[in-house]
Amino acid sequence: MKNKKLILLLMAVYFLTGCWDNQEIQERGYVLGIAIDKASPLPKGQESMDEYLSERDMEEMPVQKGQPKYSYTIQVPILANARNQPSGAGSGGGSGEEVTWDLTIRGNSFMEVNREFSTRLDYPPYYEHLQAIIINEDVAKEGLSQILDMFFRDHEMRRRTRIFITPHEAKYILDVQPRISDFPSVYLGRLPMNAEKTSRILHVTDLGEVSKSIHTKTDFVLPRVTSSKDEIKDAGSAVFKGDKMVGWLGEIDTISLKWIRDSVKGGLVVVNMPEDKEGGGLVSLEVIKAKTKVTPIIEDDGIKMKIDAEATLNMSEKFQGHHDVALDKSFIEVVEKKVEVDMKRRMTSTIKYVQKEFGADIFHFNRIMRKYDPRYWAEIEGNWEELFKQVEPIVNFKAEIKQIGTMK
Amino acid sequence: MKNKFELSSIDMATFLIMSIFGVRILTLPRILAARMDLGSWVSVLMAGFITLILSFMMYWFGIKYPGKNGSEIVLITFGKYIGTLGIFAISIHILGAAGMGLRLFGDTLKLYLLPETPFYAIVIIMIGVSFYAFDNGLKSISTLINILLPVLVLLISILLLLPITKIDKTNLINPFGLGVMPIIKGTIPALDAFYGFTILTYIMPYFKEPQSVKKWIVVGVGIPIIVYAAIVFLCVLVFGDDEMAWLLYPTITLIKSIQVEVQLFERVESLLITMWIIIVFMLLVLSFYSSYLNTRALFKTKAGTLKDRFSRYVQIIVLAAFAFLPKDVIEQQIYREYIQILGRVLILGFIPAIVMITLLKERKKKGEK
Repeated sequence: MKNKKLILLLMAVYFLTGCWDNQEIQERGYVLGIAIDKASPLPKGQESMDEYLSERDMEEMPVQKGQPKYSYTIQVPILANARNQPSGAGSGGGSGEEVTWDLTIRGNSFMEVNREFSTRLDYPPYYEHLQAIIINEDVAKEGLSQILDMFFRDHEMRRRTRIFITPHEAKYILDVQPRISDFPSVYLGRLPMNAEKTSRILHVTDLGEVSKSIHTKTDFVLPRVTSSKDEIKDAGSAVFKGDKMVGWLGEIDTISLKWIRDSVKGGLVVVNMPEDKEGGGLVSLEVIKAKTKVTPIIEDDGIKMKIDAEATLNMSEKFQGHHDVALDKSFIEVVEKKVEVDMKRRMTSTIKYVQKEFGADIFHFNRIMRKYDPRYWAEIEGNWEELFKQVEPIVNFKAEIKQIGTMK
Repeated sequence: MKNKFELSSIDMATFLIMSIFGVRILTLPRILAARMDLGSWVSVLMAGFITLILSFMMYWFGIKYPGKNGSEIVLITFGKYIGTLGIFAISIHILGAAGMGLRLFGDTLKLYLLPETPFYAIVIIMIGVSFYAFDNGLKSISTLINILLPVLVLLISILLLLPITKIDKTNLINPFGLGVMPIIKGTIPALDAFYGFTILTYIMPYFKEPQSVKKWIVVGVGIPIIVYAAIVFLCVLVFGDDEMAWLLYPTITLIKSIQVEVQLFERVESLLITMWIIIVFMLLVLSFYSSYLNTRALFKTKAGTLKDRFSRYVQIIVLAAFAFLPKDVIEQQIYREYIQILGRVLILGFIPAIVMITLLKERKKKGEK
C-alpha cells in the first residue's frame, strides 16, 4: 500500500508539473487581422530605394507548388506601444511609435504562408483572437473557398471572425491609424456592432455564415469597407454567387436587403413631408422594431414571394416644424402611409435589380422554399438559379409610429 | 451472495446519467445530419424512448434473476457455448468502446489543446486515474459519481443555455417535411449514443431494494435524452442541417462560436473541456467496472484471489490496445463504426432475446406443473 502511494506521488511529480505544450501568454504573436490581396509587387512609397528593395525581397517566398497567387498580410500588435494599456500596467506608449507590425508575404496556400511568417516573426502567430479578415475585390471575384478553407478547418479559428471586402488593396485597411482604438483590426471588427444604429452595415457576416453559405450553396453578401489614412468606412455590400463575388450593392439597397432578410436591427426610414409646402421637407423615422415574414406562393405560372414587413418607428426629425403639428392622428397616418409606399417600392426594386443584375439569391429565398416545402424544394433545387430570376415579389409593408420625441 | 456495500435507489439515476453521457456528445449531431436532411433531433427522442424500453427489459430480468448481472444471465439463458461467445463479444464491445472513447478524447485534446503532448501520456494518466478509482470498488465509484454529477449537470446546463443567443430561426424546419422514414432510419445511429445504459444490469444486484428503482430508471435515462436532443436541436438551430454534416465535432464548434460580450467571461471552452474530462473519466471507470464483472461471470473468480487481480489488470492492456489501434483519424472513425455495429447486435439482439427465452422457460415450467 505504501509503495503504491509512493508510485502515485512520483507519477504526479512527473505528470502534473511540466507540460509539453507550455507556452507563455506574452510570447505569442496574436494575429488581429489578415488582409488578402492579389500577389502584386510592393508599391513604392516615400521610403528610400534601398529600404524599398529590401522590404520587397522580404515579401518574396519560393512556393512548393504553382506560382504565388495571393499576397497575405498579418497584423500583430506591439502591445508595449499601445495607448490603451491594461489597467495597472503603468503609463503606456502613445509616443507616436508604431503599434502594429504588419507582415506581408506573397504565396499561394495560406498555411504555407503562415509557416513562412515564422521565418520573420519571433513570436509564433496565434489566431484565436483574430478580429477581421479583409479580402480584396479581385481575390473575391476568383472565389473564396480556396483561400478560406484553412480558416474553416483550423482549430484556432473561430466562427465569429468577421470578413470584409474592399475595392482597394486590402492591406491598406490594416495601415489605417485609428484615432481612439489602437489597432485597425479591432476598430474594424467593432464597426458591425453599430448595425443597431444603421442598416447600411451588414452584421451577420462572420466565418461561420460564409462557411454555411458555401457548403449549402447559398448566395450571400459581405460588407464593403473602404479606408482613408485614419478612418475605415463599413457600408454597403459585396454580392456573392456561389463563392465568387459578382458585384456591389449600394447602401440604400443594403437597407432593403436587410429588411427582406429580416435582419434589421435599427436604422432610419426617411420620407417626404405629407404636405410639402415649401419643397424638400423630410421626416426621419427611427426603426424601433422590425419584423419580416416571407412566405412563398407556389402557383402553376411560377413562384411568388409574399414579403410582409412590419415596422415600429419613432419620429426623430421633421423639417418645417412650424407647418405641420406632429401630435395629430391624421399627420401620423399620412406619414405611415408614405413610409409604407416608399419602402414597398424600394424593396421591390432591390429584388428586381438583384434578379436582373446578379441572379444571386442573396435574399435566401431558397432557404425559405426549403423550409416551406422540403419535398417540392428537392424537385426544383437543381433548377433554382433560373427559377430565382423569375420569382415575383409581392411586398407589403406596415408601419406604425409610436413616439414623436419631445416636440409637438 | 451477500454484498458488503449496497446502493440506494437514487443511485440508479446517477449511475445511468453518468454512464449514458459518453463521447458521442461531441459527434452525434454530425452523425445524424450526415444521414438525414431533417428532423435529427426527433430521432434522438425516439432512440431515447427505445432505450427506456430496453432498460425496463433489463430491469425486468434483473428482478427475475436476483443477484445476477447481465453477463451471468447471458450464460444462464444461452447455455455454455453461445453464452461464452456472448461474453467475449460483450467484453470486446465494452473495452473497445471505452478504448475508442479514449482515443477520441486524445485526438480532440491534441487537436484543440495540447498538440505537442504525446498520446501515450494522455492514455497513461486517464487509464491510471480511472483504474485507481475502479479498483477501490463500487462504493468509491458511487461516491465519485455523487461528487462529479452535480458539476457535470451544472456545466451542461450552462453550455446549453449560452448558444441560444446565436440561433438562426430560418434553420427551424418542420422535422417531418421529408416524411417519417428518414427519422426512423436515423433512430439506430442515434441509439448508439445511449449504450451506456447497460451499466444498469451490472449494478442491479447491489441495490438494497431492487423493486423501487423503477422511477429512477426513468429519471436516469430521461435526463440524457433531454440533453442529447437539446444538443442536436441547438446545433440544427445554430448551424442548420446541411452545415452540421460538415463539422467534424459540431458540439465543440458550437461552444467555440459562443462569444459572450462580457470581459470576464468571454469564452466558455474551458467549461467544455472540464465537462469533457469528467465524461471520459467516468466512461473509463464504469467500463472497467462492467467489463470486470463481465469477465468474472465467465471465469467465476472470487474477489481477492490472484486470478481476480490478474483479470483486472488485463483489462488495462486490452483497453489501451484498442486506444492505440487506429492509425489515423479516418481509421478511428472506421473502428468506431465496427464497435457500434457490434453494440447494435448485442443490445438489440441479446436484450429482447433474453426476455423471450425467459418468458418461454416460464411458460414451459407452468406447463409442466
